[in-house]
Amino acid sequence: MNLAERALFRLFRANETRVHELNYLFWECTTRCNLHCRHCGSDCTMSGGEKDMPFEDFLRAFDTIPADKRSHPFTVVITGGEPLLRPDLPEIGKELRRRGVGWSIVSNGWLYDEEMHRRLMAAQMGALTISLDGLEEDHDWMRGRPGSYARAINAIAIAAKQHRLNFDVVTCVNQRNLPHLQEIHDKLAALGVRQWRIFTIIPIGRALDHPELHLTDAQFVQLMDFIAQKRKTNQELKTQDSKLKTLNVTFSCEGYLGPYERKVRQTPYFCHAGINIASVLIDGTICACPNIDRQHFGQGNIYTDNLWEVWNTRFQSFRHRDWARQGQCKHCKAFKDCLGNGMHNWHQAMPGDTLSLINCHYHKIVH
Amino acid sequence: MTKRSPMNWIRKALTAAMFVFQACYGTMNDYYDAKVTFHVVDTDGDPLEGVGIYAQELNPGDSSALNDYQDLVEYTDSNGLASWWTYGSLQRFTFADKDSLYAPVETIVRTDEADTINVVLERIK
Repeated sequence: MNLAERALFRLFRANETRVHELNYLFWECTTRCNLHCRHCGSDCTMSGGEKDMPFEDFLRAFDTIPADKRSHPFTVVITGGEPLLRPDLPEIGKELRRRGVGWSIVSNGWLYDEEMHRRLMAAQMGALTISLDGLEEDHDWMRGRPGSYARAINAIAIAAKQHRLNFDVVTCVNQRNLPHLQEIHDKLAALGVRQWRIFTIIPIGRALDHPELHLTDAQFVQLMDFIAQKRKTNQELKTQDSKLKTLNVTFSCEGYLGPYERKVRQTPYFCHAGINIASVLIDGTICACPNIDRQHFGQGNIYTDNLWEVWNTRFQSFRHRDWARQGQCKHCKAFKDCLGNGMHNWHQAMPGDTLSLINCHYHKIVH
Repeated sequence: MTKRSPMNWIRKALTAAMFVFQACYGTMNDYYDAKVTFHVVDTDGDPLEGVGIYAQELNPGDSSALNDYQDLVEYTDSNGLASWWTYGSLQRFTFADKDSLYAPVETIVRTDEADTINVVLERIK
C-alpha cells in the first residue's frame, strides 16, 4: 500500500471500530466431532466436553439484537466441533432465515453428501467452508481418521457445483503439506472450486503437542511467495480473458504481513474480532472468534447477560488495543498497522499468567 | 449504530466494495438479500403441495445460462407456498411436481424485482 492508501485504510479502520456494527456472529453449537484433528484449537472429541447448546438458548440470545440492527449481510456462522452432527441443523438454518439473517457452516465434510447438501440448500444456507488439509495421506494423518480425505473431496465436488453458494475451501498449511500446495491447487481447480483460503496453525489446543505442524520462518515466507505468485498469475490470466474462471487463492486475515500485505489477499489486514465479529460459545460465553483465548477475553455469558448489551458496552479490549503495546510489540514500527496482530494470537499459558503474543507473522517475515 | 447519514453511506460503500472481511476461521459472508415467494396452484386455484422449484442463473445480457447447474430451491408446502433467499440475479425457475401429473412451467425473473411469483400448473390429460 502507498502512503495515501494506508492513511485512508487507517481512517476506515478507526471509523469501523467506533461504529462497531455487529454483522458476523459465530455460534459454537457443539464440541462433538467425528474426526480427531491434530491441530484442533478447540480440543474437540467424539463425545464432546459439553452438551450441545439448545437452539432455543442461542435464539434467545440472538433475539436481543434488534431486528433493525441486523444489517445486511448479517451472517450467523455455525461452527463446532462438527456442526453437521446436529440433526436439527436445517431447522436451525430455516429459523435464522425467517429472522432475516444469513447463515453458514464450517465443516470437515465427512457427513456432507448429496442428501445433506439438498437439505441445507433447501434450508437456504448461503455460505459454506470445507477444510482440506492436504492430499490424501497428509489430510487423513492430520484429521486422524482414514477416509476423511475422500469424504472431504466428495463434499467439495458437490458444493463447488452450487453456483449460488458462497463456498470456499480452507487449508491449514504445515510442514507436511507445504511441498504439495501446487498439487492441492490443481486438484481444487479441477473440481471447480473458486475460492481457496490458506491459514497456518497457532500453537493452542491439541496443536501444542505437534511442533511439526508449525512452519519455520523460512517456510512461512515460502508460503507467502506461493500465494503471491498464484495471485499474480491468476490476475494475468484474467487480464487476458476476463471470463476465465480461476481459483482465487488468499491468505486468511490471521495476522499482519508487512511487505506481503495486498500481495496475498485482497484486503489489508484488519482484525475484526469484537468490532464486527462476536461469538456465542458452547458454554454460553460471549466472545469474538472462537479461537480467541476465551478465558481471558470472554465478555459475558448469554445465560446471565444480554448479548446485545454486552456487545454495546463491553468488548473494549478488542476496540482499544493500546494494551497490546507490550513485549515484542512495545517498540515495533509496524504497530500502527498491526495493532498487536490478530486477537487469537494472544494467549495465557495458564489462567492468571501474563497475556503474551504467541505468533507474530510480521516477525516471521522481516526476520 | 447504523445511521442514515452521508458518512454512513460512504462507510457502507467502502465496506462493500473495498474491505469485505471474513473471519480467519469462519466462512465467507452470506450475501443473499432478495427474498422470493412462490405460490403454486392448479387450474382450479387449489394450492399444490410438493411441487419442486428449480433455479438456473442466467446471463443478464442475453439470458443464456451462466452454467449447467439447476438448483432445487424448495418444495411447496400444503398451501402451495415456498420461499427462497438469494442475491439479485436473473433466474430461470422451473416448476415440476414429483409425480409428473402436471405440465412443468418455466419463468424467467430478476430476483431483486420480484416479491411473489404466482404459478398455475395444468394437469396432463
